[in-house]
Amino acid sequence: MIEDLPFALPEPVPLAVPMFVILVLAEVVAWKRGAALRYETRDALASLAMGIGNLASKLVVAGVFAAVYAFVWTHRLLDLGHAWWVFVLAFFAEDMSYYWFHRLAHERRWLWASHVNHHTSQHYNLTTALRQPVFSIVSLSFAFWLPMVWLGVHPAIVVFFQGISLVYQFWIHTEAIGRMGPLEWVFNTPSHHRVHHAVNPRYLDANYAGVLIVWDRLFGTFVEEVPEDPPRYGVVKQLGTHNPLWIWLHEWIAIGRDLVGARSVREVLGYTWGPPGWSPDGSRMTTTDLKARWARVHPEEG
Amino acid sequence: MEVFVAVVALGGVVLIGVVLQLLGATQDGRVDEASARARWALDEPDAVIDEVVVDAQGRGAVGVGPGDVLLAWVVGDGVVVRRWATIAARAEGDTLVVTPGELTLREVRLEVPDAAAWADRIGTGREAA
Repeated sequence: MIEDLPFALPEPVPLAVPMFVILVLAEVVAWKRGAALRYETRDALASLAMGIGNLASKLVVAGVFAAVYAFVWTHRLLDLGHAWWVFVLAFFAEDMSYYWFHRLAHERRWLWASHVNHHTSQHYNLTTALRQPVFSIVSLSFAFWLPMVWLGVHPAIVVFFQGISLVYQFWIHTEAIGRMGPLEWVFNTPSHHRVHHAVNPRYLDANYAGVLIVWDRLFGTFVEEVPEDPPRYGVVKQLGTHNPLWIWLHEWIAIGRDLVGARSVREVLGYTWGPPGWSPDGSRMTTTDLKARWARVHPEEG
Repeated sequence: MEVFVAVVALGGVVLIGVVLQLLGATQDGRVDEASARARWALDEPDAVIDEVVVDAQGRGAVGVGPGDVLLAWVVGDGVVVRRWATIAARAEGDTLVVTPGELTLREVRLEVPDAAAWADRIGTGREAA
């Protein structure tokens, strides 16, 4: 049982939906007026449909999340209460939890299977931000925020800052904003996040930040956007569809097919918790392999 | 609250879709030999391509080289690249049918001259003449 806070915290994502619509329309107008942006109807509609699917899926699994959070809260180590400094602490803790979730969502295939859909667009505009998963519950990604609850941050505060982070990350999905001066040192910006969505070998596995880019700088995953290598977006093996259902499911089905053919515990573990692209005989390519191949072919860029 | 959000979200999707359609954002890409080679150089930088055949409508291109078959296929205004040693293919008249068999890319059909010879070449890994 989770006792209520003495005050109600707003739900940032539902409140932001009208703003999402208005800003996408503004970006579309900017594209049509000649801004350096790209839009394609089927791509944008797939992203928008996946945003709605994500909201609907949250309604379906809300009870499961509530039960897990309640269990951990019941067995918490501390109770930090709800003083102002708890909110400050919770902001930083949530943002670091997001960094580690996001990093492992790229480095471990089980988490990648849910997260990959967000990266499947070959475009990078505000609709791409809404290309969200529906199977997060299968990947157990919510586990990354449970330590905060166990250490005494009220679940409602955790959920509030998760929403703030998601809303923050909406506006950085754009090519309309270049670089932002000193803010680039501290905050995740459109430039930093373009790098994250890029498939250029130099940009792979970089910039996992939610709100603060300082985590990437601190943990060695920060990569700067460079003008001579403009980002190309999507996944290293681009999908041949705009169908949201297949975008959501394709990697889960690929895992299933691999597991059917697995011949040992090592292969089962490799196909599920190895890096995306892992294969027992090395016939597929991980991002490490892709970077090494590029460096071999283009030593001048080393 | 939920009803308000649902109405705004669904209405917003419809509105954005209509605006994009009206503004001409529904675009099909095209490839030619130069653009296909450029894309392969980015996605498969160590592949060596000797000969390329391009679909008559520019929907895709197939390239062959020593030990490699490469595909560049248009999806919307984007391009999908695949690389194989050999790949199941057949000819249906002037149409070269390549069968990646993937969930999101089951089959691609390219209208090309001499489709039967190309199907044989990429299906058996035979190098370009």
